[in-house]
Amino acid sequence: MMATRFLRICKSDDRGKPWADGAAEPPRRWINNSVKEVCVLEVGFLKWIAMASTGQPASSLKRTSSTSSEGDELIITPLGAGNEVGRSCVYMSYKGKTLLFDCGIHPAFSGMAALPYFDEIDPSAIDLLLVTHFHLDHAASLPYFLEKTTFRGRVFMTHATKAIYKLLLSDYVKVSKVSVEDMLYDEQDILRSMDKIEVIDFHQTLEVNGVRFWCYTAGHVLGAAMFMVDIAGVRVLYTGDYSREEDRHLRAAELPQFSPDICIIESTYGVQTHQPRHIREKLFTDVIHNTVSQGGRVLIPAFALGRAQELLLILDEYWSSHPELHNVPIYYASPLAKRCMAVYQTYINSMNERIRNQFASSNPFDFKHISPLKSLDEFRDVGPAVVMASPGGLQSGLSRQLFDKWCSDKKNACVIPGYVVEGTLAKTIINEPKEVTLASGLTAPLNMQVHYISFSAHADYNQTSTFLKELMPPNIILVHGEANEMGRLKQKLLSVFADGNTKIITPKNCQSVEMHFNSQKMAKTIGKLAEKTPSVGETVSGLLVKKGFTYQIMAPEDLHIFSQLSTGNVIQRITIPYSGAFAVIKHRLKQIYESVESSTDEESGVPILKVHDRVTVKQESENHVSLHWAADPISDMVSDSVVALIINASRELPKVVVESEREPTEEEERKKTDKIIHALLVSLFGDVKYEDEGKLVINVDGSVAHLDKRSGDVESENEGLKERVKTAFRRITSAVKPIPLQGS
Amino acid sequence: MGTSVQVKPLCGVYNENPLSYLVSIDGFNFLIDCGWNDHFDTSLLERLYRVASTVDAVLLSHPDTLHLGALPYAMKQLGLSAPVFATEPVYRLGLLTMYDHYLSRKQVSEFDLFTLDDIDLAFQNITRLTYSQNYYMSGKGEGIVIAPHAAGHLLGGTVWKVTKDGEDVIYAVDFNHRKERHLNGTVLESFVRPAVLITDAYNALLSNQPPRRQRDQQFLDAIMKTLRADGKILVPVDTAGRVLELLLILEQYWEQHQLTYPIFFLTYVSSSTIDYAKSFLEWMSDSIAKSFEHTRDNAFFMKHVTLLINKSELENIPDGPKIVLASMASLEVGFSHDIFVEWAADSKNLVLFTERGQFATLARMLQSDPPPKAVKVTMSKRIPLVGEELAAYEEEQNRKRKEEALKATLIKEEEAKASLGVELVPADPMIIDASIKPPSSNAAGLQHGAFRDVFIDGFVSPPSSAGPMFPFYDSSSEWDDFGEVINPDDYMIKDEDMDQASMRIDGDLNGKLDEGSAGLILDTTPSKVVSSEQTVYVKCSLVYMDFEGRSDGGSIKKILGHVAPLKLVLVHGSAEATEHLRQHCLKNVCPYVYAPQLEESIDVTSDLCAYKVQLSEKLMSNILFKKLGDYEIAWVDAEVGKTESGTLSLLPLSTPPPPHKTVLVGDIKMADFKQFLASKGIQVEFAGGALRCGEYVTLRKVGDSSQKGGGNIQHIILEGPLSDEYYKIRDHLYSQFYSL
Repeated sequence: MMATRFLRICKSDDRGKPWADGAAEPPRRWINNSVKEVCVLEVGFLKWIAMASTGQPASSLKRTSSTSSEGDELIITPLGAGNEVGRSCVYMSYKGKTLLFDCGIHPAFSGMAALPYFDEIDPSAIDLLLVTHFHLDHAASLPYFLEKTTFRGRVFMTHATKAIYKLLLSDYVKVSKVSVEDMLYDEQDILRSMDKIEVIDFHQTLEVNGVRFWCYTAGHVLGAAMFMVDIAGVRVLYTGDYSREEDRHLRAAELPQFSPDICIIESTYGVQTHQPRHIREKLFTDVIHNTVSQGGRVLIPAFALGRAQELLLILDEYWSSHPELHNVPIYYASPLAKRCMAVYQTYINSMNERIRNQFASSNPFDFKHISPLKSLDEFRDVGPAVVMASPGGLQSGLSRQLFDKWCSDKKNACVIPGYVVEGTLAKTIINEPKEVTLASGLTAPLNMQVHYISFSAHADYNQTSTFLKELMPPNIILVHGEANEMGRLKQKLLSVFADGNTKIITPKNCQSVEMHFNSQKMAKTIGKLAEKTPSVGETVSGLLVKKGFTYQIMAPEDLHIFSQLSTGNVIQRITIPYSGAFAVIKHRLKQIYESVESSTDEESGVPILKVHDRVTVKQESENHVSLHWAADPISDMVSDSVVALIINASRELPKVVVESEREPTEEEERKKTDKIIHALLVSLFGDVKYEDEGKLVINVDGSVAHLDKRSGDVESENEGLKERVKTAFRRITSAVKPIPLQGS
Repeated sequence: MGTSVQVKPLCGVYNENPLSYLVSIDGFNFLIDCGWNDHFDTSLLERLYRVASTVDAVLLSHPDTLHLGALPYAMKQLGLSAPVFATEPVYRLGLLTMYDHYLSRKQVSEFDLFTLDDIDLAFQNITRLTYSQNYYMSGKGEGIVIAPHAAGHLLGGTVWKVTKDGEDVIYAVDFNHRKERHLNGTVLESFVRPAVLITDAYNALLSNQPPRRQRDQQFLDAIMKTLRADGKILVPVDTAGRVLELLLILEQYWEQHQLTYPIFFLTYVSSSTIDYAKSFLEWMSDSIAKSFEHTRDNAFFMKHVTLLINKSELENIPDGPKIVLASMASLEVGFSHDIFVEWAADSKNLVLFTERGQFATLARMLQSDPPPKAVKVTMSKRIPLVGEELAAYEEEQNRKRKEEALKATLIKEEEAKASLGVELVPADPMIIDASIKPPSSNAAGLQHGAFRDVFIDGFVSPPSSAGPMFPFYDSSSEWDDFGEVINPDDYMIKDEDMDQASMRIDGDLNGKLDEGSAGLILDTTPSKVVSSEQTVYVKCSLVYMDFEGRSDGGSIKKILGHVAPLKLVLVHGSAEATEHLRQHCLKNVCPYVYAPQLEESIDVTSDLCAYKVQLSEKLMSNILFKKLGDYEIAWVDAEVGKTESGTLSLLPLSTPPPPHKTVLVGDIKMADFKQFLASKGIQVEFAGGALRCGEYVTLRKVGDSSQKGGGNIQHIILEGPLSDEYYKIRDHLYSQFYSL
């Protein structure tokens, strides 16, 4: 895990990253730098070796994203939560748009090691970051990513998530007892990050840089969302953590209206199935009731926010209906207890109807039988009690203190109410070992009863499979699940989607999934251009206007109607001193241009000349002529020649001398053209020889192409050369033709 | 082959009547807004009645009576049964507004146009959407997408965008572009070139609103002056709309200056209103959301404002300077009316209007200049019946109950015969007798609900303790050989009733709200209304300040110019204002400006032609786009072909492309160009409308580029003598354009 930091150091040093490509030589030049980096380097070695041994090409996304930008390759790479639970972070890139889903930390690690593999990406290239919910494993590396990396994109989360995010992370920073240098960020970083986070409401459709996205209720915790992203018509659904079961305060996850092309879905519970909610609730209350009625204490280690509120609702309701328990106190031991209430009271619109209806009469989160507990100092441990304390994994903090205190008494009970992450004490005691290691380092017998009743509001197998069957996404990517569970889920899902049209992929961290979407680009022809729908073979000419991923074709006159762009017209008028006879100019012009019409100006009556209807020459006075024309490359050129002609005429040193009055014959014309074409081809390809019947042979590095000058056909073994010669010839022929002055 | 769009105003054109418009898009009829005035004048709804049954969907824009007041009545009496769409705040606050109106009316009259039940029933089927949520209509409306967007006027207020085949029809009335304390400005300006824009001319003649800060200060100054002079202030307000902004202004000022003068917010639903406001932070301005995220301070957790739902509570408060924000801005009925009558005679007091009163209301009269010296008001009061009246009433009750029971059996028999869902015979004399006559009596169309409605409509408070919310038909239940006669319907609708019941709890029957209104709702003692005319001498000061939260005329014009719809429909606003805005828009916005008369159906189908083509890979690989802001743009010459699936596709030309006139794309601002030239070391100055560059060259711009719909292309004229400078400036000018 230290590898993460190693990579980071490399990055700041050298963006070339030789190690990332599995280079044969580990980077040496850092060894001299400092002792600290040497130790880091060792870890770097490990990663380097590991990559070599698995033979898995370490994909450097930075490279792929730069080469395949604008490409049709859709790349999805878990930077965390690939075959694991924790540090959710999924990278996605398509059509040059890149985004991240979630930005969590791994609860079982600390410091840099807990971060997702951010080194695999270039944070400055990420356009968009979407955070599904406030849990640490989905949101806690956000302050780091926003404040300590080059990320400059936009971040979105729901209103409730944002409010709780701040509460939770501030607490996380305070509680996590790591050395200062291991601190990923401080409270100030969180505050600053708040200014950068934008909010999105459920179902609200937003667009950033051509990426359209919206979110659905996910059910998991208050404010939890599933994001649907639409890039150029390809839709990707990222579920985050979701639950399809309505509980006491949350709605069930919605079924999106549209089927996505790719569904990135959590697989926490794999193939397990939950018992029905009321059975779990009964089990839960029974265990607690039994324990306290026998004089024991109940410890419920739970994450401070989210599922805890659900459990409190259950307990409060149970206590209300069991007056005999009223002398047994329930404590909610979390420093956040009080503060989070305001949030839960405000965002009732994110909850289910039941709560919203209750809210109208009284606040359901105003618990009658539960008292908050800020620290253990306030807690008098005398007789039966129920304490809900954080953190849920018993790593440290209040729940651990209480556990250490109570674990050796068999009257007591510990109810683990949710999913526990691998590597935490809570996970260990589920297997009911004989002894446990206390926080002090001593060992103690584990006599207390341990119950595991899950209320964690993740989808179980039934929910997942029904959800996917309804959605029928052609591609399913499993994330957020422990490798074994995920594997079993994959097998079982494969049997469900046996028709073979559904791909199920379980990428590991940093392992990219590449998919090709052949998106058809559709354009809408509108306005004057579309007055008649053309039939096959006709031509369409106009402006192709692209905005985001939509294309429109329109006539230039319509541009200002259908877009905010406008077209301009530059009319130029230039006066030139000229004191000669106006007829001279006319004569000279006629020698060069086919169409020179003379007339008189209607207003002033002065003579004017019109050259190809583009440029008008007007005798302003004895000493001046003026030219005016509408700017356009061809007209500009014509006007330039007219200007040159007039200047020279006035100098009375005629330099434009007509070479011959005789019309050049067709044969001569053709010969001249041939010569020019040959010369130009030589300058492009080098070896160009004449062949019979006006054909040319072009020889480039052994590849030969035959060009028929009349038809423009090219024959060659080498496709590349053929195309190049073709294009070159087309351009040359259009270049040697006279400029079409009449065209408009 | 554009989408066909027709607009037919049902109410609220060329005047300030409530808003109600029928917009049909390819034959799918949207009723946009369903307003009523504060007098609940049924004659306004005649036109709605004529089309009510053809409406396929109802869109509501704001939670006040002018925009949704007629919904309960239309649902009950006019045969409107389409699904309704609104944002969550419009739904909640609209519901509260209707409750407040009903209760205020009920207090002083035998109000029977609709009941609380009708309100609940009408609001129950509203589909709630969030801002920028794309809702895809199904069935008949397949292909139509509706999306609400922030309007900025009231909380949850909506600019509706209806899209079909990429063409937008936007309905934006009463929008406010200015950011306020509790609301962000409208997002209307982010829409560009919709096919049709329907907007109002209400404020078209109003110009130059003072800046918000200055306006707020004037408001507070006026209040403080009166308070310091020991006066009382009445602010007649709406139930749950603009009042939120006023409360915030006061609360913040009181907090800053640590004032102790009491502030009261008095409506029948004030506590619910504030409770819901607290939970609608998502819909409010960024600063409110931010303050909550950072410090969890809910802006509507107000320390200085006391919420009252009963006037007697106000009377218990010792006399002294105070501010009362009381509902019914019209002063026609309700708390504001009563308080006005009491306070008007004291010259120390102040009545502060924050919105223009509706036409022909007391508020409007008082806002006229000069204000009337005295006004006639009707004081009505509901008093319990005593003596003979009570006896007569009870007798009447008994008779009615019997009839009721009789009718119930009749109906049951009928229903047993006919299958469920057959309409009641409209000619049933008792129904007509008991219910108010709708514009056409045959509209009494609520099906199985009719029986219950009749009971309440006759307005008789039930003798038992159950309120009109839960009609109670016991005592006279019929018995036959098999026991009590049951009404199968009671059991049929059980499931639906679950929702209804919960709805009622949240809306109305909860403890907080009820203490005050319970007296009325659950009033079981028979009562009657007594009225007396009385003349009130208006000695108190009257001040009107514009806190309506609507954009002023100048801003409306600017916004319309920016949005630049292809076709514009003007509604709602005095004839003068409508005509003024029409003329302005014809000149400056677009050539198609319509201001239809009542019931005049205008066709605003776009004459836009369009077809879809596929862009082949081959073509695209040869196209080089030029980037211009959000757009990328290129010239294409292509040949039409067909794909396997039969759609048209564009392929590269096999022959050399025909020449085309060069297009210069870009918009040049003279001022910007001046700076640009100056930065290149060329002397520039404006002289006589032209830009003089260097010594001899001038640059002029002709053609109005601000008129986007007019089809004018801007012309720039570059003049000068043959010189180096000329060509240099020309190069700089060209650099401002993309030539294609």
